[in-house]
Amino acid sequence: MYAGAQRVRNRERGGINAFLYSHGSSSIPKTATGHPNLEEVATHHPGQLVQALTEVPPGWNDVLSFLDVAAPETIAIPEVILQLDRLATEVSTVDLPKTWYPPGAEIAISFSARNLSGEPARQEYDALKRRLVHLLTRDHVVAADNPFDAQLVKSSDEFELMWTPAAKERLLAAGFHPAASLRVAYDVADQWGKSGLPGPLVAHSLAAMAGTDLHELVRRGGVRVLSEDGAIVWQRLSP
Amino acid sequence: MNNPLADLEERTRAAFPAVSVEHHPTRAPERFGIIDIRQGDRLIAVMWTPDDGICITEVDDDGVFDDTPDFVVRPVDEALQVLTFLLGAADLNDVDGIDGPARKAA
Repeated sequence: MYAGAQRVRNRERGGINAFLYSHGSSSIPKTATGHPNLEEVATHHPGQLVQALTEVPPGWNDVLSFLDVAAPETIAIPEVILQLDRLATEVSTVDLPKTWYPPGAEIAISFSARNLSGEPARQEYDALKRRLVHLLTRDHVVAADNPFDAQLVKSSDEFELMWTPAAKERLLAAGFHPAASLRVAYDVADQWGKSGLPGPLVAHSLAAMAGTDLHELVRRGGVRVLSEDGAIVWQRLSP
Repeated sequence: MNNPLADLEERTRAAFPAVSVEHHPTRAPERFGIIDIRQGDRLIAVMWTPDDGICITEVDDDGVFDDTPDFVVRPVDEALQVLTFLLGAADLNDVDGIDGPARKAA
């Protein structure tokens, strides 16, 4: 897997383009130390393009900065995001360009931003990272065993639904605007004709809380509601 | 805090004589300042307020104004560094993104 975000410009505009390539069943080139050879991947073996997010039409634009990731196809996307997040604290203190081989992870990450250092370099890294994470989580097929989880909490007069921290982080990374929580008074829930929180109301509530529709959540791995003791009280894992 | 945009404007003109720099006068320059920088058809907006610092944004004609600027810095040196990054020469070109590599030497 090879993914890259790069800030480009032509005569009319500038912006960030991001691409995701797959190597399928092929192995990616490695360095002598066994890490992904990012330079070799980026210049000679990028793989097959499977996703793209572009703000500027690609092709012969000036490249001002780039953030690249190379890893085996089997790597979990949350692991990639974790490693990208970890490096964010280092970027302002290193000389660029720089390639990292995080210990314990079969991944290589490279960042270059001509003329930038210190705080501006960190801001550029964050901008490219956001676009990369958006690309990696947007249309990537998420396994059905990786649903978005929401917690259901009951108080004396209302239900409260809220995303788990992990689900909220994934929603933010995917470019949605999740709400902190959503409360439904018992008398409102009762108007749906049942005691407890009825399914259609849950579905509407989760969509509103996610800032997208339920279909999109299901397509990205499904959605579940867990009670305070961890039991699944509602779920939709497939269309 | 003094408005730093006059200094930034002067240094940008000196560093990039080919770009157009337009300083918009404001009613309260001690509280708000804005300059537009044009390179070809590109527009880069630079805004300053005492609270926010210097905000630098590439303006996309196809979109509405962004909620957040691309860069937010305080020292003029860092603002000039960002403008040099956005306006300066590039070592690389991108390719079409289909079957070729991501970049080639410019």
